Amino acid sequence: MNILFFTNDPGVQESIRQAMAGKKHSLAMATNYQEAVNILGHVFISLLVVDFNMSQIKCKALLAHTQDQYPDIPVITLSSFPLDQIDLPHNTFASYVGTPFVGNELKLIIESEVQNLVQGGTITNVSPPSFAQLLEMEGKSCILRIFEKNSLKGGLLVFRSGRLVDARYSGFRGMDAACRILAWDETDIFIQNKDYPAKDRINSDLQSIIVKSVHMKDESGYKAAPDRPMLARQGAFPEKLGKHLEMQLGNRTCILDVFHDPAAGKRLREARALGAIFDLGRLKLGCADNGTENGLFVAGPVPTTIKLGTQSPQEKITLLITRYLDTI
Amino acid sequence: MKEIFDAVIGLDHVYGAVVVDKKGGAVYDPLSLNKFNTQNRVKLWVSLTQSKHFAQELDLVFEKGRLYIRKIDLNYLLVFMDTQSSVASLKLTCDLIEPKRPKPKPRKKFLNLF
Repeated sequence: MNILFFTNDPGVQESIRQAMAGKKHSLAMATNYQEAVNILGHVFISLLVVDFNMSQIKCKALLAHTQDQYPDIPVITLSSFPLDQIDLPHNTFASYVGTPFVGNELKLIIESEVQNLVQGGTITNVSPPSFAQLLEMEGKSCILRIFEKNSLKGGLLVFRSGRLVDARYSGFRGMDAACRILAWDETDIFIQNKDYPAKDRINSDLQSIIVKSVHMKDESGYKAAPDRPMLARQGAFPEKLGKHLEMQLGNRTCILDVFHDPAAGKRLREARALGAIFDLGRLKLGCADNGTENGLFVAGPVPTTIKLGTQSPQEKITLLITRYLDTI
Repeated sequence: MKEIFDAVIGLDHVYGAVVVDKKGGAVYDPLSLNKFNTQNRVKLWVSLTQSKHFAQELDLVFEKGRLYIRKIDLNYLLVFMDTQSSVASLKLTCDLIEPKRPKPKPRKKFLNLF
């Protein structure tokens, strides 16, 4: 979990670093209001700790901003004043810690707040669209904190009575964030069973969002091709696949052509949508036969079509491509 | 429909099959797979089957399984298999049985008047 500390006191900062040493959480420090707002807008923060020994006005402004924009983020207040002398409504913060800290006090309170964020359970290695569909069917109200396995990117999805009502991820909010999060393949999901007070920022049904996310994923991979360094590697995919098949099959007489085929994008999107309906996971390849011609379309780094000869061992080729995709 | 369904479900590595119409309604679903259990899924299915790209026969390999879709008359046979399955025997089974099935006769327009 990412924790944001709002304090400009070097002593408190050092105490926090010592208290949180050895913990797996990532710590971010903001020393002024604008910096804190920027971090909240661009980093997936799960918990905010505010040092009330700083300017009271700035602290209150930050609390108001958090409550308005990120009602899912619990706030821990630090103060050298006793709790009853802090001029704040009690519903604006989750916990209070007196400074200077005594022993492990701060660490224990942070851990207790983190536990509240995951009180609904944790699920590992799951695809967000499958899990979201399950929540929709069961009509659940909960907050999901989702972390992608490979990149450790984090994002938030909020469900109210089975309806996806809000999402945020790296500066994106609502539909834009939901589409990006639902495009992740393998994630760890932390569930918090809590009603979320904010308004519906999405206003769309889940299936449409999933289809849009599939399209977005497809198009971003496709768009990336012309001007990123990755493009050179992606563009070489059809050629490499062709060479691999040639080597495995001994010759290429049964394969007429292997080529980057942007026109296959639409077909791949539809096939991925079918996979999403039936929860079959990531698409690898497909074979469509419309009665006049048939060909394989491969969901590689770029949309790729393979034209087969009439005597081609289609089953063997399918198996070879499936294995090859697992290795890249 | 029962004949083709029984033959398909008896094949190795096949773990489910269902026949649905283009509106997502189950025409033949003895295993009660109930794959279209939400309105949104039905909507998506309808939009897909109306797409010009949707083929007569579609074999899709996914990470968790394989899906074979075959258009039969006005309906769709959907067969769910594991990733180790061979679709060749499935196609052959369908090819052998399908021609034997009587084709639905077109209705005569004014039959009810006489």
